[in-house]
Amino acid sequence: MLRADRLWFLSWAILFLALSSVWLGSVLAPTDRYVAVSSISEAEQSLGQAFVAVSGAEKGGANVSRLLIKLNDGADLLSQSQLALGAGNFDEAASLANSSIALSGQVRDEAARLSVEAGYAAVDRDWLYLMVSVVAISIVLVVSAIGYRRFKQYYYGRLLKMKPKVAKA
Amino acid sequence: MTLRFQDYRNVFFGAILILVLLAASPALSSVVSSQKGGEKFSDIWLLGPNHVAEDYPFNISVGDTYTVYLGVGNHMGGSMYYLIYVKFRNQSQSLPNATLSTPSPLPAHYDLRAFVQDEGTWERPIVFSVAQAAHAGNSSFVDSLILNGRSVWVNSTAVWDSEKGGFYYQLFFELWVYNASSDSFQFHNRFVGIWLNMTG
Repeated sequence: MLRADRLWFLSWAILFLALSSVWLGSVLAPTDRYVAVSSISEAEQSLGQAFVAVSGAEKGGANVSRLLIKLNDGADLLSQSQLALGAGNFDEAASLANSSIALSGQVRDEAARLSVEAGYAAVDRDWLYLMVSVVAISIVLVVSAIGYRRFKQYYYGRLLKMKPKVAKA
Repeated sequence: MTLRFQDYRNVFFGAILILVLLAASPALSSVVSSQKGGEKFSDIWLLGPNHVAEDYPFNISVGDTYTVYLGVGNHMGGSMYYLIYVKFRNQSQSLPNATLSTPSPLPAHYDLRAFVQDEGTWERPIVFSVAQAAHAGNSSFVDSLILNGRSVWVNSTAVWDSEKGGFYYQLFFELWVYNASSDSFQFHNRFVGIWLNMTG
């Protein structure tokens, strides 16, 4: 059987633990909220940066429709994260925001790769077009020179065969 | 009348010049930029619950759920990043000013982000309900809404409109566009909304 002083100590210890957990909860909750809010802010910035990369790839001639779908997925994750933040689910909010950040990062990397590929494709295409033009111009010039020469011979040959007419006064 | 040789020669060289230009067109196409002409603009629209421009929610009451479809179209000549702010107002509060291209000074209660390809569209359902509201005399007070599952405080009061017979509020959507150089969103001078009559 417990003595009275031990019982008194035990009850004080339980009370202390209970108060500590309440205090810790109140201290940690804003920290969780702060983490969630900063993750959401970072996710917003990441989406903007990813869009800039996608826009650059598009201007370089890359097909970015797949990347835009991914960015919309990232935006939906961000929206869900804000929803979770509003509901007080800070861990879930931070997790969703981090997923959005990861997706934005993937999009940024893929956009950079597509941009380089589009650059190479553009150079190859320009060379091809240049070669096609050079060949086509050469054919036009050679055929024209031969045609001109033949026509000139035909024209003067016909002119020499003509009989002069004497006009009556 | 017969042509002289010089005339034939001029016609011949003219034809050659045209053929040379045609032959050079593939190479010229990569040098000359192909800028798209036409007006650049974005549009924003709302459709009713049946995905057509009718049967919009109008007479609303606390606890009932309503659906509209919000759409954005991009005709800006390249992919765009849009932000749509959802706002709620009564009849006396300000709408965006289309002449000055300024947004409504009211706070946004909800936002949606959309990445839209050139000549593409984006659409999402907007499901909303009035969570808390009260009537007192000739005024009505909407405390909070639930927008796509998120509870938002709107704290808006409407007075009885004796002319139209109702307590009128407007749920409206402002279109903002991302500006990469300033890394921020700018009001795009487009908005759309629906009037709601708080009946009970």
